[in-house]
Amino acid sequence: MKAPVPFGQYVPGDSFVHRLEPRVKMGLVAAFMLMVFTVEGFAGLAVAAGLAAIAVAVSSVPPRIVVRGVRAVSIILAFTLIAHSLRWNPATATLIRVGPIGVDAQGLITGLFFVVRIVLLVIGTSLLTFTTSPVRLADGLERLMRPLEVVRFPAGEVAMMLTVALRFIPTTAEEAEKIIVAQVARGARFDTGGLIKRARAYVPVLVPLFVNLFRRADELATAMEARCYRGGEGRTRFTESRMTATDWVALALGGITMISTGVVL
Amino acid sequence: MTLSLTGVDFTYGAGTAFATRALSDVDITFSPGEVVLVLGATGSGKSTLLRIAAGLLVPDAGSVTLDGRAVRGPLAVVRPGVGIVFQSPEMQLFAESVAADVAFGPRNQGLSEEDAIVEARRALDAVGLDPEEFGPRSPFSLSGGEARRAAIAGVLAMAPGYLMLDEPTAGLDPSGRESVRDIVTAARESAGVVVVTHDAEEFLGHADRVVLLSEGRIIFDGRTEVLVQNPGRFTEAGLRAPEVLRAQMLAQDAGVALPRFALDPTEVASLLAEAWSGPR
Repeated sequence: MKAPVPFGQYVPGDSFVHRLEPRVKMGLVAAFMLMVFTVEGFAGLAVAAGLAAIAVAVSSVPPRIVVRGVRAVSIILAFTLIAHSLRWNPATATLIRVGPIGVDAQGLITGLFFVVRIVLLVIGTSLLTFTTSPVRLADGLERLMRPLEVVRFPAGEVAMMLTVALRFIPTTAEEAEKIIVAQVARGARFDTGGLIKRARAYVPVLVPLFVNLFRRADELATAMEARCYRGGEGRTRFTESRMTATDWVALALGGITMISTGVVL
Repeated sequence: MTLSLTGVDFTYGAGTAFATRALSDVDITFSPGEVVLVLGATGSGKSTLLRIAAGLLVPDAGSVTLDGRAVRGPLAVVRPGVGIVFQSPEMQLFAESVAADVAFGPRNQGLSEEDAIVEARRALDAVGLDPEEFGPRSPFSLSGGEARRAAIAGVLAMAPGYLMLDEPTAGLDPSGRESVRDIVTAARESAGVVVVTHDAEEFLGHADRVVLLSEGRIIFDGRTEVLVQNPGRFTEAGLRAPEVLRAQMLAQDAGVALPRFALDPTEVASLLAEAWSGPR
């Protein structure tokens, strides 16, 4: 059955987190990532987890949607844990020994540390996209990139590209799902055989998906030109997002808390 | 070979904040050689009904049986199973030639390369595309109507016991729509046909039976003639009655005593003439 909210897709709402200026959220996410990467022990991760839990609670994003985002990286989490835990020299393995392979307690703890770190990174970054619509996200990015225009960086065009790309992620996912179902209805199987057979089974999905994407891109470009789009230079915005006092306070408090946690713990 | 849905419930995103009930307690049976028209407004559950009947979605409650046997998994892989033509099916064309694309289904059913090609040629013939001319062509070089017919051929090549079509004429020009109606009429010779649409006008005259869906529930399931005599049922389903019926309703409201309603314009003209001048 189709997932109602794909990983990373905007969840409409009017929470405090939703209302924050996108640049503030991006700044806070950057500070959060810095904290998660710099803390050296579980105490630091516990603080990060606490902050993430508060942010999720305040955001009104249903926790099961956040959990689904974490589940999407479960293979990476499992690989991280196994890669850190296994030892090829059983003499150093203290927990389990099976032939030439053993599990080391210290390795298991290190693995858990990295697993928690990845989970927190996923939650922190996905909360940004869950609570910020693609258009506001692109607006925020454009404003962050605007100073680069002095070195002729095309901030407006890049922002428009991002807006269009983000806008079409759910559409493309929906279209891929439709094509998969249509090919399954013609007897195609995607869950049998080895890796190469499974990869080849996706040809009947990828060919029409790309053909439709190129066609849509062409139509969109024509439609934008027909509505007088001429690039980013000199363009004004329908809604200008401005920093409020709440935004500045949230940025200062959140930033200081996270960076100091990263430095101290 | 009877296809039955009994007590079927289905909810998208069940157990989440985004749960949307699509079907509630649906009982319906399809029989071979019959053309059934499933009508309903957007979001009434028509497409979900089709997917469940084809074994592509598993109902939350209730059962789907083919000849009394419970259905588990897509019914396309069995011969004769259920072939389903989705909205804009030309979007699923992918192979280097029309013949190879149409043969995709039969090959998945386990037919040999030669047999699959034979089935593909038969199906292309059935939809009015000459296999010699269209078989070697790239599917991406076809016109909209030709591509739609090629996509339908891809399902017919699987020799389905039931052919299910979801809004099969959407986006086609008048001649393309007529071709699809001809395909539906011809398909009933070898299969049960189920057409899902919100456009009552298009297929009503070709259907033996009509099912009206509203908010996931069946509010009418009966012979076409019965529905034609009760055109108010279209409004109950959130639909507009076909123009030919609306004209007769308006005539009746204006005081013309029609003995019955009819779909065929010639018959309607005769009924109106009789009502105005008395029996000849």
